[in-house]
Amino acid sequence: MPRSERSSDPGVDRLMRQLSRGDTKAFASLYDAVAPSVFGLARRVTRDSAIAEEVTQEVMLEVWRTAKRFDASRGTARTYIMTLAHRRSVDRVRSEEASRRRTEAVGHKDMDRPYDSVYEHVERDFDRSKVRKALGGLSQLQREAILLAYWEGLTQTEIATHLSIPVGTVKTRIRDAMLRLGTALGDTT
Amino acid sequence: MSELHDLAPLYALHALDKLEEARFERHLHGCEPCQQAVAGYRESTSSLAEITRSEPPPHLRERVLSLAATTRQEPARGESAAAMSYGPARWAAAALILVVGLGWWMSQSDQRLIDSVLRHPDAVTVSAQPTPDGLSAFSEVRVVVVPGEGRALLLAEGLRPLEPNRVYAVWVIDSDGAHPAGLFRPARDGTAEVIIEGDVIPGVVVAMTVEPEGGSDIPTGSVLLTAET
Repeated sequence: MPRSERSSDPGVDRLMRQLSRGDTKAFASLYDAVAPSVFGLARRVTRDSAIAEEVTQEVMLEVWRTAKRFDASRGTARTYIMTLAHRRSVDRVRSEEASRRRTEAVGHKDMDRPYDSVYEHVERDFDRSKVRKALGGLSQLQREAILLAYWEGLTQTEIATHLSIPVGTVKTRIRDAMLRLGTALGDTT
Repeated sequence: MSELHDLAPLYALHALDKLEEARFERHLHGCEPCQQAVAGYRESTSSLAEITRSEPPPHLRERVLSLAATTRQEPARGESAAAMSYGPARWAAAALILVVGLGWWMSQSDQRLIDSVLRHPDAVTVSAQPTPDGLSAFSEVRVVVVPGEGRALLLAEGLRPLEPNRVYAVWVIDSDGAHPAGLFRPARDGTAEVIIEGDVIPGVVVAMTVEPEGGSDIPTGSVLLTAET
């Protein structure tokens, strides 16, 4: 799969290059450009604003610290930052105690209601509506599987347990979902 | 191998279990098609984050910017490469990322962290001493520390394989007691390169035990080695 331009964000890539020269003003601009995405994702995954603040701080400082080492040939700066943000958020919810709390929360709150209602309530703007449209193009089962992984930070084994389906089915469902999502997001129309 | 290729979407979603993730990562380092697939999937997942975007509180911005102002940036890759000629460099060749499991992309930055410690001009190497319980647990373990920065690595050779559901645990012991400093499994050849989490400042002791998968808050297995920094 050739790398598409679909999530290219020249502003963030440019700021990242300035950051690598130790430019603190560029860091402030970069913060403004990406912190809402980082914070929102961390809060969604951890379900805790205070932890989400810690994750955001940790991610932004890591971006600052390692800016000189960022390898642009591997993807866009925004994708790099959001990958880091998701990883750190998932790490938080996978610590033992947190995972116990999460299992309870997942069982009682959102899981009984389909994800469709979750994403129908989000604000709309161009990017979001495009992503929502892409998610809307998935089957409900595919959407559920992908969001259990991305938003709840569940592993494939946990998803299989949660949905009472074999791990192999989770694998197939997520792979099909990711392929369809990639096509939909890559579609420039 | 096709079975491993199928793990790329789950890997990009951070939905693999720890061991499977480590296995896939080892595969990924040498598999160009998987690297491209993972990069593509990550673009999709980072788009998903747009849905949940939300303004962080203003005090966070101030805090992060002022912290950055006093945080030193790590040098670019390749800088101070001359320092590579001393001791620990040969360990870098093994280049196995076991403890943090941050993914291929992230593992690059872990590898960079590892390299930055190994290449640091002030890096000091300490040999770990086996305890009576640890005499047959490993052939050689060293701790590489950058004293001024508190960053450190644990480098091991000839580690005894673990039973399933067990991991090696690294501890940093100071006057307050033992603090968890990372979990890892050795590579199949018995080597490991582990970033020690937490501050390894002069005077603390680094120790290693075997713990149940997921780790423990305090050491429950017997201490196998100690290294005094």
